Amino acid sequence: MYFRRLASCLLVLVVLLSASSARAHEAGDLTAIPFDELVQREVVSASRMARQISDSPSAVAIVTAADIRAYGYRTLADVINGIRGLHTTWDHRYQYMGGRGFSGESDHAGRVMLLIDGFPVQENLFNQAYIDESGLLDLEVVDRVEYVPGTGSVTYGNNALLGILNVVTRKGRDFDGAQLSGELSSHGGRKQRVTYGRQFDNGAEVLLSASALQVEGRDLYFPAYDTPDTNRGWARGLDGERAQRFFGKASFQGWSIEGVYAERSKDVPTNPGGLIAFNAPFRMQDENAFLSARYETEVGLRLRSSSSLFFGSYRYWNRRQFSDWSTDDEKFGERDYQGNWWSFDQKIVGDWFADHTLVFGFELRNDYRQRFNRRYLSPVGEVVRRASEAFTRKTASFYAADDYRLDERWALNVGIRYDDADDLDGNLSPRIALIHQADPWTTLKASYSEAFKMPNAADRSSFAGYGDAAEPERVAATELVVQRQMTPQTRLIGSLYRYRRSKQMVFSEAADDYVASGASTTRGVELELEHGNERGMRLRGSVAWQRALDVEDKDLANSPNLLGKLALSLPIVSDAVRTGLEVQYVGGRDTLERRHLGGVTLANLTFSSERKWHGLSASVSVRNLFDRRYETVSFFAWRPDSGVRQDAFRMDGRTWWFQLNYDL
Amino acid sequence: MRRLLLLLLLAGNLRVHAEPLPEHDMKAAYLYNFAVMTRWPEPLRASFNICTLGAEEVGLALRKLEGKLIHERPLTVARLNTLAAIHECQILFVGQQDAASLPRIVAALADEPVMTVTDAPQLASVCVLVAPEGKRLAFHVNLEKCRAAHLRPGAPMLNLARTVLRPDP
Repeated sequence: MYFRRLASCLLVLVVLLSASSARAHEAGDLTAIPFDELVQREVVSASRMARQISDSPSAVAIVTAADIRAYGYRTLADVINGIRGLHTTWDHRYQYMGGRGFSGESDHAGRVMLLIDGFPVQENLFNQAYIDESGLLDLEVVDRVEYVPGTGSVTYGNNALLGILNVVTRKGRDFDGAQLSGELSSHGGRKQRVTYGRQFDNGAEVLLSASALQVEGRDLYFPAYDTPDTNRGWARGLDGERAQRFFGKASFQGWSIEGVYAERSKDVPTNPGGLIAFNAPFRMQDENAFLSARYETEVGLRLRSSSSLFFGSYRYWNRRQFSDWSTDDEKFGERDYQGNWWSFDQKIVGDWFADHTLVFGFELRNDYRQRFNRRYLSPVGEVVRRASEAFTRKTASFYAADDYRLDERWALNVGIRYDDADDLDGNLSPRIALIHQADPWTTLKASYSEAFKMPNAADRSSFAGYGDAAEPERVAATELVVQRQMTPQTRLIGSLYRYRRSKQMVFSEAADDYVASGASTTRGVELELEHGNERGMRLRGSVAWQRALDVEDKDLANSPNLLGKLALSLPIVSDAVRTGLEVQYVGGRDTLERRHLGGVTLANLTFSSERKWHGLSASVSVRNLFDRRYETVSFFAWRPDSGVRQDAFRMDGRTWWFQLNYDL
Repeated sequence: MRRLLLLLLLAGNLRVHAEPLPEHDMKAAYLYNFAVMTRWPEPLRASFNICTLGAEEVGLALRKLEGKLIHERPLTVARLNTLAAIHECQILFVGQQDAASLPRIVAALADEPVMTVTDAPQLASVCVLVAPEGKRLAFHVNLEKCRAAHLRPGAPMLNLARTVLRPDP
């Protein structure tokens, strides 16, 4: 009911907007105007607001390098928290993204796609997108992040189920030299970075960057472990983190190559498993690397070709201690997982017909290593037991899409992709979208699409049910979007959507196993206003309302009904410093134990230098400015010996961060 | 009263005429006019090809003009990403995004009859520069570069140009 009312509100808004623009004029055929008259006409310069690059008919959100700097974003998770309708959840291991109908740990891996310069970079064991300090890139080398809500299987196939983070890196010329950077932050955090970028006279361009991060960590208190046996709930010195990243890319004429290596080791203070000893050393390590090459060329004026080759590698390692080893002599557990894969993609874009842009191509992917090695060690370090599993998968995919401009005002976007993995039946992902240019400033988009997620290696390892009967999880999404450029500097985006997920894994008493028979629905509406002015002020505000149900038709855990964002940045002190203020509201949501956590409003404040002074530039940022005490949902549904629930974690109070850059 | 109404009507009409035009559409129309007002060496290709590089939106605006006749050839628009096919263009519009490629483009084209146009402030290396001037869109012609490409911009076009760089006599 509530939803209907909101829907009709949006509709009224659309009608009002269309009506108010009835006075607007079409540019018409300017070639009919004599040239001597034309040169006297006034022009309105193109909007200085960031325009989306991705071809999605969805309501895309864009975060630029200027935003990253103005709001002091340090990880993709920070970026995500500033985006309409999204929030993240931290469990002291990873940040998990939540949004339209997905809510955290169990949904994040394999359902949110991360692209870096067009390449999907989730690893091939869990298909997780790393968005915290385990992420692949320093944000200083990121030019923009586009968030495409909803499905993307029609373009990217497997895993593009609920959202796509499209990261575009900066160019060598943006640095034009070397930059040294040092950072200090709360909890004994330090970071060093060196970046070099340049474009040479022959057009070749390079960008190289390396960084190292160390966070000492601190003591954390967990009420569920407040017993004499478990150090009264204190995990001492177990929250430290170290990370290092290397990034390089080079381009010359149509060629570009890019490589990334990112390694993060984290001490885990929480207790992700019932058998694990609390307040005992638990270190985990994620190592992501890729190497890619792409060649783009034109074959005549009508045909563009893009060929891409990608090699990916991922390693996960952890060592943890069990609380009881009296019966099996297994005191330590070690996990050593390794994934390797390559893929090749050949895409053709054809402009043969005046009103059509045709895209077609194929992709081959070989996940030739998906290995899970586990070792269990005695108190003196001898191997008591080993377990090992290995999987592989080969996938062949074909895709085609047509962008058909019916006339000046109407366009039709249709696409289909077929993915065939050697252990699964073939899968079709269609998309159809109708785009209407109501007037030069108003665009309406309606789309229907389907997407899927194949059972990944971790699923195949955990669920015995994924034998011969394995099936991909699916989603069908319907979305209506209105985009209105109210002035060259003011933009309004509204979105109304419905997602229907199916083939989700649920436990069946009858089968005494997990079966892919769950289904759930999410509906929501989002509204965002963006405004800038000539003096460099930028303002973005959004409200997102969603109602997400789980497979039992109950409110989905960790899915707030309401999310609000406000971001304001403007130059101060005679344009020498930019101030960036963010206010973010996360509405009330349920924990896994069906306890309600109240909503919370957080504010972040950043000051950054607008101009360089003898090559120096600086930023200082305070997160959770008002030191709000708040909790987020934890994904640990079981209770430890104390009997006290651990369905929520207390988050950080006020934290600060300082960065100093020096351009050589 | 009637006079007042007439005045209002007129004012309204004037306002309609003075409606500012979108920059990309305007640039596309300029390119069309440059094509019409310039003479290319014979023989011409079967189609008249206007290409864009690093100027996706101008390319999209141009596509609306596709099929119009220029020098009795149908206008064909190509939005290029690389330099592989620039030799097939009659006009090549290089946007600011790819302005860094201009030296290579100039070297690659040598004296081929391709009219290079850009909106990046680099008149010295191209035939025509399009640049906003106040609220209007002005253009500048580098006649030496045009002639090196065997192109002859007509007098009407040169008369409308804000500046014309002429070769030293």
